[in-house]
Amino acid sequence: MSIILSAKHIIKTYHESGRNLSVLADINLEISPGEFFVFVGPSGSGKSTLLRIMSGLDKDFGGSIFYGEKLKPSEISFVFQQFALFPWLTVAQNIEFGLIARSVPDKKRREIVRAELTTFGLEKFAHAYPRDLSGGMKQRVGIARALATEPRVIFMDEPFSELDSFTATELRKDLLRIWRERKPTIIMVTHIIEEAIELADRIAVLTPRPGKIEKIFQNTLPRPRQERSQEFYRLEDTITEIIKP
Amino acid sequence: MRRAHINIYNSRKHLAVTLLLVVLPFLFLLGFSRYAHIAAGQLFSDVGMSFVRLVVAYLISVVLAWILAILFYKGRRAKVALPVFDVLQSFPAFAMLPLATLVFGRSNTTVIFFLVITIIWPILFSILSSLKLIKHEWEEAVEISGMGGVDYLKYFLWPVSVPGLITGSIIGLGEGWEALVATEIIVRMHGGLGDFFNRYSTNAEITALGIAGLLILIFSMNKLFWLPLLESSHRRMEE
Repeated sequence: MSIILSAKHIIKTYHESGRNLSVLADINLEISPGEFFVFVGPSGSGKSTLLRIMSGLDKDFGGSIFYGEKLKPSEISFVFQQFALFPWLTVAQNIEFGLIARSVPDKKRREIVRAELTTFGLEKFAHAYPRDLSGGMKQRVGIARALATEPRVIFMDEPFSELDSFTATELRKDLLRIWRERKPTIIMVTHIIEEAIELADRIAVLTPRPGKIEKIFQNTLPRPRQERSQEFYRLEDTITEIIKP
Repeated sequence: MRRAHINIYNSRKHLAVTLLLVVLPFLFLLGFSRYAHIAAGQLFSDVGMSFVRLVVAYLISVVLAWILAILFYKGRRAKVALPVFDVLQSFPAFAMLPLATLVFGRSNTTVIFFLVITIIWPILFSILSSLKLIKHEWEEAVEISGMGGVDYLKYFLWPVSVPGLITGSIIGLGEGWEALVATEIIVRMHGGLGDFFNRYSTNAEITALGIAGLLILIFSMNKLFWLPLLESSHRRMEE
């Protein structure tokens, strides 16, 4: 089985006022290309920290991260919980940002931006600024920006937690459609168990203080997943039992 | 990336009023020269000369302040540099004037040098304040994008520093006008507003009118340029 990313013995400790606070303890896992992998866990389980370590944003940790399949850092994208859009740039310019960094020629850049605007229904907002958009629209821009560079791996840090439930449901559907079409590897964290079950191929359940992987579930429920099915509820109960303090 | 349209005026009326304010100082100076029986050419030349000195000093200050801010706004360098900047900005700039005159003589260089060491601090500290407001997530988004070098300065650090640059410019130029006239008087420059006030120091009426003219000029510049720009730059950083 080919591996696009593996984490071996990841530990993370913060030093605060003379005390050591262990955030992650001995995290080991392997992720396959094209997989939708979700970490689920309560606050304080180190989900976001782990995501930042795996994406290369946090370099201060113990253990090692390996990128397989000749994955390069430039083939990685990140979607942020609070969107992290640049307020001085328009929607189109935000989407374009990563393409400029990769020195994509002007004409090609415009084509890609136009295509992403269409994919996310943002054509009418191309010249709007983030301040003019709703939370849902902002996260559409955030995802469009992440996808514009055609990444092979996308990290998502609780991308729907700032949105109302209706918008989050719509956006999850869009994400699944895009994932099916483009087949990137998605590594996401969430604290919502239903969201993890709806989206993931595999679910790693993290428990807090220090954060460690309690169990990894292979999610074999057929897609599209029925939230009201017995199997869905059963898996949700099993994960809840593990997380419950 | 296409340059975003910068709309610093809210309406046509706003623009019209602003343009009127540009014309106002010129009309005032013309009327003033008639009233005081001063050659209008001489008066405009004095104002123009001072204005050019200030603009040159301002541009040097902006470039230096921005480079210093970018180099020292965070990390270990900031820990070392910021207390040094703080001490330097507290140093009374006028104490440097005799030395500057000794080195550069009674020249434009002396005036500009003195103006730079006056104007640079508010601009530098305002840019530093803007850069301190950079969100950690923005930095992460930039890091993931892999943007670096000139693009990083152009598309990230420059836009973030603009609101501070404008705020600092308004404060710096306010102090700059004061320092400009004082320096021109102390150094006994030939030409410029300082020279004008020196020449008419015994005529209270002309001096008062001169001060009024200077105030109208500063007020118009603020209204014409700086305040709309300030408003626009802050609006751009709203999320």
